[in-house]
Amino acid sequence: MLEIKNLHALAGDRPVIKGIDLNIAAGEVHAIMGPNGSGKSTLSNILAGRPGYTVTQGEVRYAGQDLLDMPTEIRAREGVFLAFQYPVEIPGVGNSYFLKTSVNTVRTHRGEEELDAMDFLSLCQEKMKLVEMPGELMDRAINEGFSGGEKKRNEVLQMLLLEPKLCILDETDSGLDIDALRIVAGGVNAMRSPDRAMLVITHYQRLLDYIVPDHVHVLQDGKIVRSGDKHLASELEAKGYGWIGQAE
Amino acid sequence: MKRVASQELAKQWAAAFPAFADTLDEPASLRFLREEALAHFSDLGLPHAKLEAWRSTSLAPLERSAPSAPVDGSPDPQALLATAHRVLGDTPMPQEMAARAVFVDGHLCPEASTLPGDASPIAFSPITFGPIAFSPIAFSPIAHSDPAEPDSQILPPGFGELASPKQDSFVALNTAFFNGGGLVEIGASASDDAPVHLLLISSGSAGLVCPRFLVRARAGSRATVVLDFVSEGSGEGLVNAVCEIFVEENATLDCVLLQREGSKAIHIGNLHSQQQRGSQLRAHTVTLGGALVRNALEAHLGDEGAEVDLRGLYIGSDDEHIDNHTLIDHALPHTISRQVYKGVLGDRSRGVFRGLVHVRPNAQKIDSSQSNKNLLLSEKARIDTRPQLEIHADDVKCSHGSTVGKLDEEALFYLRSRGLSKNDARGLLTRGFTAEICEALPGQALSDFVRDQAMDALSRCGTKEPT
Repeated sequence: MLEIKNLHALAGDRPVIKGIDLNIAAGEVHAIMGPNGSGKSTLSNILAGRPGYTVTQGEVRYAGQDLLDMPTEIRAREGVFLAFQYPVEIPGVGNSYFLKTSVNTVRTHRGEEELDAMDFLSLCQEKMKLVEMPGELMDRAINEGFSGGEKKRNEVLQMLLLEPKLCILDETDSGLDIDALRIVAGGVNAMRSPDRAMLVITHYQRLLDYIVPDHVHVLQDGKIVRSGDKHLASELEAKGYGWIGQAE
Repeated sequence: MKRVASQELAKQWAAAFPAFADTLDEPASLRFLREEALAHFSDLGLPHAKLEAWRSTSLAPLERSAPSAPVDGSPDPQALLATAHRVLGDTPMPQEMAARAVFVDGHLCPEASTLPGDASPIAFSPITFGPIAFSPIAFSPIAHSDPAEPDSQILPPGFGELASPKQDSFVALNTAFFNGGGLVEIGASASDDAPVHLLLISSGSAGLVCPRFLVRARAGSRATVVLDFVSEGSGEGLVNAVCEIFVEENATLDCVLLQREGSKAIHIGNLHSQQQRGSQLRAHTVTLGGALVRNALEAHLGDEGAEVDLRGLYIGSDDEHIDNHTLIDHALPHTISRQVYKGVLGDRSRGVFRGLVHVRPNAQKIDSSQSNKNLLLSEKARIDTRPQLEIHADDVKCSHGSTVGKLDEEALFYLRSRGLSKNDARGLLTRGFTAEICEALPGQALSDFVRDQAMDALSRCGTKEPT
């Protein structure tokens, strides 16, 4: 589903990604771990199309297409979803209006019929239960005044509603207490399916206790320096990132 | 097109005054008041860029359109009515209004209006000619001639008390030429039901139009008055409106100024308010169109516990110029003022915000805040913003600030990453920026209506990606 080949990229004018190769097939959950500044968030931002990054070498193919050539909104409509590390607060724009617009834009792109207000509401209520999201958050402006946990639930709710093919979770565990983490992970796990791929980016192993990956990669200084199965995560947790550097 | 220098234009208007005044069937005392105002106008001339208050606003659009002075004090009512019906048929109108008074070029069209009944606590009357009852709100022409006693008191109490022709040339011009508008009397039993809608239609062919309003909210009353300015076609001409507002003890008044005239309209508005103890005035100024719009708003907080809340939204496109000048006079202690003005400027439009909060000596325990936020949608749009404080007391809480910015790139990316197109994302963010002002309008129907009108204005002003 996702093929990253020899990717090099700048964040601003600073080289951050220095040659990443990664293949993710449908049905797989990959985790990328790494210390701060290793390029984890840069990678997820490049995949989602955030401005401010320049790819200098390599390519990214998504479902056979050149991902880097697609505008952000087309990537989203084609099924790429980034759950933000820091979801943006947008005063004055109602959360439910935004979600409905988003869902219907994506549905139209897929050739499906738009949902009317009633159908959207019942779909929304069903998905909100999965992330235990209070109904009043729908009547507020997007993420405005939401707690850290509520913002992350709102991200996962969007993912549940949009049903993407490739889910990228950027440090979704940051700022969550254990209960919120469990709820958010539950929402993500509900999305696991044979035709959906996931890329979970995290600093800590904690999240991977709840979202158990098929593959774990360690990113250091813009390169994947080690790959393994889920046990690699616990080994990292026990020995720290310094251990990888010494091992090489 | 002919361009007439503003001082020359002022002379032309002054010269046209006697013929105009002769067509009015008015007592000598009123004629005298007009002549006095005209003398002030001639002394003051039209404002120019050397005056501090006019430094950022040029009258060039006025010089280009050079509207002529009114020649006839009593135009053909059938023609006015026909204009009223055409505009009412073509223009979206706010719903759920308690009463609607329709004016064409300042003149009331009773046949097109739904005036309040005798039982209503609001009365409306032409300003010179006796209240037309809308109880508890009375609406009447602003001056009344009583044929039996031609020199009796014909102007409502308070007329000219707040808006003085001695200091401002547009107020002087209005006082000389006013011919229409009305007196809105809000009785003590009025209690915040549906708004009174004063619809001011500019026919675009009348040249200089000077509507004059006086609103008096009696002690303890609650009401909403909407002054809604529209035009037929592009709205050429000058609408020079003056509105004086008296809010008596413990009364609450929402006054909505909605300006949605055409692209050639020139609108100069002077709104002056005086508040008594414990009263609340909320003035909402929403400017959605016009070649040159200037709103001067002066709020006098004349007694303790008086509270004024000014909210403004302006949306500029093409070469429009929108100027909001506010002055808050904290004359006595324990008075509160809040100001939130927001502007969205696209194309080559230009905005001006200048707000002065004045705290007089010994006016302690003042609470005042002032904020002006602007969104510039194009490289060529411009805003001059200057919130100012002048404080002569020491125990006060005053804040002010202004911001000028573009759409937030982070927020744009967030929306696009959820599938929204660039244009949809820009539109949504811009609407979000304006929502605060629309939502603060009294009543859901009015709030929804203004939001929809604002969205139309936004769709004209380059919320689309510049290409």
